[in-house]
Amino acid sequence: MNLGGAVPRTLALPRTWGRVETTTWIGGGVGLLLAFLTLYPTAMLFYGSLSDAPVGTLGRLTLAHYRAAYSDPATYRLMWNSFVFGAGTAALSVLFGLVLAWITVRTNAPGRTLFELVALAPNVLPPLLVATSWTLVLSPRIGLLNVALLRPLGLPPLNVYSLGGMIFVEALVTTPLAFLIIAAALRAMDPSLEEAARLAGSSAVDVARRVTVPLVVPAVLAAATLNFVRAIESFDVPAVIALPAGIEVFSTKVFREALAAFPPNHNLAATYSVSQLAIAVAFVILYRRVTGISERYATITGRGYRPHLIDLGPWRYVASAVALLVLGMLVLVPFLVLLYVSLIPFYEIPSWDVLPRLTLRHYAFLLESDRVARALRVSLALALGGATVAMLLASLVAYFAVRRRTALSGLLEALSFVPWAFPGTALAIGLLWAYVQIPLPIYGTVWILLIGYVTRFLPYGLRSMTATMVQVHRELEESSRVCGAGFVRTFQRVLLPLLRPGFLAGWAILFTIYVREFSTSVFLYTPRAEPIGPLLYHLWQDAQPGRMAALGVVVSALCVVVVGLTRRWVGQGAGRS
Amino acid sequence: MRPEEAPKTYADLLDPKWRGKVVMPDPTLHTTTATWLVNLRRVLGGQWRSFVERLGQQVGLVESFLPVVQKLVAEEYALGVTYVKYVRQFSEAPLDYVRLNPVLADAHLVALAKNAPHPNAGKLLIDTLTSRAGLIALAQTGEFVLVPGIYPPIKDAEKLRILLMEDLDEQEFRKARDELGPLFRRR
Repeated sequence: MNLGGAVPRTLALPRTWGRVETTTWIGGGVGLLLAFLTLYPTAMLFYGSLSDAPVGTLGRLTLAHYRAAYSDPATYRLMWNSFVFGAGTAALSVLFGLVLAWITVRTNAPGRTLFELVALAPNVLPPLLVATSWTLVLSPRIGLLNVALLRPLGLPPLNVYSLGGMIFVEALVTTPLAFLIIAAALRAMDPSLEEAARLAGSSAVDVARRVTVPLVVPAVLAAATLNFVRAIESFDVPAVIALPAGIEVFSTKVFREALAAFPPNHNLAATYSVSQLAIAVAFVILYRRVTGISERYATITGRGYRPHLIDLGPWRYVASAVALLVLGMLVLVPFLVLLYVSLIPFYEIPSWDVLPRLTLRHYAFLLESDRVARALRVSLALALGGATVAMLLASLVAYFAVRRRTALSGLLEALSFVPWAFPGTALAIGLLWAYVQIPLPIYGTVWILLIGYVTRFLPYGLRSMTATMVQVHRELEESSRVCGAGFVRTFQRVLLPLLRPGFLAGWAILFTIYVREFSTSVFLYTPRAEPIGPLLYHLWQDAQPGRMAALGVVVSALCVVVVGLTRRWVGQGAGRS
Repeated sequence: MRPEEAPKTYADLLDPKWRGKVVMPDPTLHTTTATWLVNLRRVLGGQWRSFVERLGQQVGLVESFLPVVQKLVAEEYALGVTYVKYVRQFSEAPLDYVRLNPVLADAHLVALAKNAPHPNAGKLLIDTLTSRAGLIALAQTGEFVLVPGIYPPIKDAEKLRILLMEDLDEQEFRKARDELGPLFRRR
């Protein structure tokens, strides 16, 4: 770079002004785009719930749908079901997460590195597959556990088609998040607090009760609140378990009104979605309060330390067994059931007689079927394109929200809060109302899926980008500006390369989510562009569990490869810098 | 199940021994099932009301006809209300059907959309589907077709007495949903 040339240029007033304007302009553009992505479907969702005309036509405002919904006693039953489902899921997932986190972080139980892998489970096994696998294990008449263990012992069968069954499966799906939050809190805990209590004469039990537990409580509450919201929002597990069991929760009601009812009633679907959204928003606000409180418990200080490990003596093997049991229910059981079902012609209880019937025909079907090939094309395009677009947007939003503290940052933070609380089904109904009238070819194409994916999962990308953004010092960016590079060039040549680890980590997470997304896609796809998520569900519905399992195994394997490659890549990048 | 254990008539479905072992589509979600229940009135006459009420307490519900087959193939249920054609389409699965008299049938309709992007291709498809060769090909997949002497490759298909159901309009669907819904969805 010719410094002699650069200095007069930065001194030239009009050029500098021009550059400032570019930055403001881009920041404003990012703000507008984010506002459009989040507020427009929200507004249209409200409009749909208040309009007296069906979707796609202009109507007058009315409260009739709210009256219809809230005068129906079934609505209160479904609210109660949703509440029990959410609370049960939160409690059980936090119990699993707490046990796993404590064993992994604080004890000397063998195999702790293995238990850490639980955090990756949701990136590999989608909830839809976890749910279908567990129905094959816990179905009252044919469930493996019931037939192979409980029936011979003369015990009554466990029934997955119940609220209890839904809670158990959803808890497994949400345990990794509880584990991540609680493990982080346990790691950040200052051991000197416990040591001080020990020195002051407290017994081990007292230390746990009076020091450790209170320090972990905020994390436990945060995990419980978040998983409560996730259960209220979730459609994967309810679609597989609640629909056939006839148990109504918010997402199944929205599904039945919008897609499955005759004639479909998108107004009523929007009304129920608004209620679901309101509950989710209330609890996400509560979550923010809880995590706000947790900052008052100053457990992270500048001192380097690691919490001392508790020697469990011979009990450490018991602890490992418990952790393995949770890990097994979470990953091993669903994966083995899928693998088994993908290798047999028709579902049957495993026995030695099955061996000669083992077949690869379901995998052959994957190679032959046009429908599978199209779904793979659609979902791979959405995963590659969507993850890239979402991460670029997340980088820009993170930059303007974290790096440049202006009036815009507050607005961007507020806007990026919206998808955080938006249930997938509610967002889908909002998008449906939002794009059906627009004369652009978005509704009924893959573009509406792309918009839905980017909007709904933007917070995942943001989390990894803001965390990385705060680690990059401003001076690097300033040097680039001083050398005469504009905003775009600085962003592209200096910031993005430095942000690569966060970018890649977020990209991989989004890729694995997008490649088999179900609960938003099922409302927005068309048969011409059916993604893998809905295809898995339809194969299951269409009495083809073998084909579903084979596709599930292939997609999970693909996700393992993507997650594995990114971890290596990010690790190397971090090592070099 | 041994063939002689299977129910022989509609009324046999109500036997207490089948309670919770029969699966059918949810008539509040699935239009053909709602149509079937309404058309049963023509077969059952005065017993229709009590039949439908008791059937509602006897069955598990799924979304449509294929999920019924899924439950049967997985042996989660013993009996199911679904299309006869699946006996052919899932010929490797241990499935059979009850030779009811009459069998209620639902017509598959084919239509050309107004403003279709390729109307002539659509017309060609309609011609193919309604030609003798097209109907014979459909019969091979298990469908009952309007070509005299041509039957799907399903045992006893040629002996069935088939009664075409009357379609419902939107008003009748709403009425059926409101009337039948409470009998079938109790939770």
